[in-house]
Amino acid sequence: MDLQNQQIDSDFKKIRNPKSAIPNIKYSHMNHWKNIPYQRIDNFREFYYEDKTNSAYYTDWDRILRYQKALGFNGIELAPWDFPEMLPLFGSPQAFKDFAAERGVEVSGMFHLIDKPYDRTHHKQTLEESKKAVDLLVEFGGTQLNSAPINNYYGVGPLSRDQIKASAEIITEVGKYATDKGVQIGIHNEFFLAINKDNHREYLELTDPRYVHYCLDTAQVALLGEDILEFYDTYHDRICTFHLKDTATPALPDDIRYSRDIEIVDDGTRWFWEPGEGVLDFKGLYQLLKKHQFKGWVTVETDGTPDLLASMALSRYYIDNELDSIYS
Amino acid sequence: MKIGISLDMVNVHHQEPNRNRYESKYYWDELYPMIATAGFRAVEIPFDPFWIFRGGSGVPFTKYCIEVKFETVAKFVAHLQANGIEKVAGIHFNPTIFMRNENLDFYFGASGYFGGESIRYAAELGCDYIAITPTPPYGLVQHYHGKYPNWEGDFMNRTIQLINGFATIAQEKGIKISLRNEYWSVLRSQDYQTFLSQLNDSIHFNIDSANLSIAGQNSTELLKNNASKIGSIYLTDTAFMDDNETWKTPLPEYPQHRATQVFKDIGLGKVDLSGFCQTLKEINYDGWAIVSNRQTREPMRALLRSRKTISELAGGSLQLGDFGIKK
Repeated sequence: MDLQNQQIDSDFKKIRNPKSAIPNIKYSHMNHWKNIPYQRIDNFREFYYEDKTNSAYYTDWDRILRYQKALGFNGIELAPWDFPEMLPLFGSPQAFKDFAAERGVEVSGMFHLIDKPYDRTHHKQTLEESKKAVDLLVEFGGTQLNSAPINNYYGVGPLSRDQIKASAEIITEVGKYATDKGVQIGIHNEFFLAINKDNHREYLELTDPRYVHYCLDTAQVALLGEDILEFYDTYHDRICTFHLKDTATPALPDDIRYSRDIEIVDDGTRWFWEPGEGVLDFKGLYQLLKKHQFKGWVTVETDGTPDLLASMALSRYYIDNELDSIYS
Repeated sequence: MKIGISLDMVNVHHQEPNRNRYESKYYWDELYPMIATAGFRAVEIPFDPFWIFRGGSGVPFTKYCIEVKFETVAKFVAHLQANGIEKVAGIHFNPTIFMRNENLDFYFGASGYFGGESIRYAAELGCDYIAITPTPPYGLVQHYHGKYPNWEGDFMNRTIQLINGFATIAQEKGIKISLRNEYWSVLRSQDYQTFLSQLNDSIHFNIDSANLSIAGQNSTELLKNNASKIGSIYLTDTAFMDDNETWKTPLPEYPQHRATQVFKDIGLGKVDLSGFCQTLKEINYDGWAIVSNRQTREPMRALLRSRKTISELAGGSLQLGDFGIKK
């Protein structure tokens, strides 16, 4: 094959299958769709004409899953606060799993809170609630239980050494149960939690690496003050999955991170942005993914966006055109 | 009658582009003066403990949220008044959020606790009434409890205890309870007169124009026969006909068999609101009539649409003064 034909062949492969450039990575989308009231709107044109607004496009699971598939997000990570409506709507986790599979999407995981882990008198209840979450995820067919390790700093922090130890003990117990069920527990740190800048490495190292893994939410960890490249390079063998999102305000000061209800700011300030729209070094991160031969789910979490569909598309463009070629 | 508008026009629970702005205080700071500008001097607040758990305390739906953002309820009321909203007429408490598992003790325990919270919040706000939805949707309760024999009987007995417990707290706080009856309620499958006979005498009733219409009831007759027991009114609109037993489904506000918007901004549906308001005038109703535009897709537009509709309703024998609105 001459040089010109080799170039044409290479270009054609990119066009033909641009979203399978990295066989080691499966891309998922974190569900922040905030309660979808319909399974499938059959009379979509009629529905649209009731109001002639674009909210019609965001009202049924059928279209949302199709948007995901169209943009190459073959996994969906579920949010438990949606289940009280979602489960009666579908009838069962299996029914949702089947519905999503018909549209080419599988459940990658779900979000979870390890509630009151610092309090050993609450451990029995924490474990029972976490077991239910693991069982539910298994019914959905997912494998990643990305777990906020503790409640918010406001009202709980600062933690004593013993409270950090107690927190590590209970998530390890949850991890043992999850591992038996084929589920990976991923510690999901958030910038406003009681496990925070000063203690999250200590907490991580107190957990058993056989049972407890780490979901690296790039923006959250940067917001609490970590260098995400150094953190990943150091703990790459613990990190089982990512929440890929950007921030423009890394290393927030303590008085912001520890304040009450800081996730949603009064003036509309956004902590989270689409990859490439903030300041984080995702290209450096992908070089490290290649170095450590990361394999698994990478979830784009479009948290706080005004338009989830636009953010999905913007993120996908950045991944396809800036990141995947680094680790291909 | 005195007119107000419900803050349920801001749908904080379901997806739409940029819906997350509803969780931020800046949105509500802009909304309050718009309410007064559209001619409404009173509001009703839907009590919603989701915002205690969720952390979106910019949403003014619980006392917790108010204290995070305004320190005290009194300061929040003063903030509303400074923006032209003279009064919080009432609170709406809906226990449906707690119907989320197979544990009825959880449902009734949480409903009792937060229902009490909502009454105390209403008292601090200076409300005249609290509207209470007595049951979650029939289909939702059946989803979690339908496999148990006699679930309806057991559920109703505990519901009566729950509501009578609310009546005790409401009487202590000097608040009137107004029992709302949505078209999808478990009450619909029950002997309603027997249910009523077991309730505390202090309990009044809410009349909701759209829900009555969907349930196929005669609102004029109902208003005239129960004039002395009306605690509050909802001016709501719909064009929906429940011809496929949507009321029995878990999400009856979203009919799956033919997706449509059940509730419309007032004036856009088919309810005879003119006749409804005329009857209210005939029975000399002097309580609150609350415009509820739940399911609207544009709250700011719904405000103006509502004012336009009220102005049109006032065009015949009804006057704006009949709605407590000054020209």
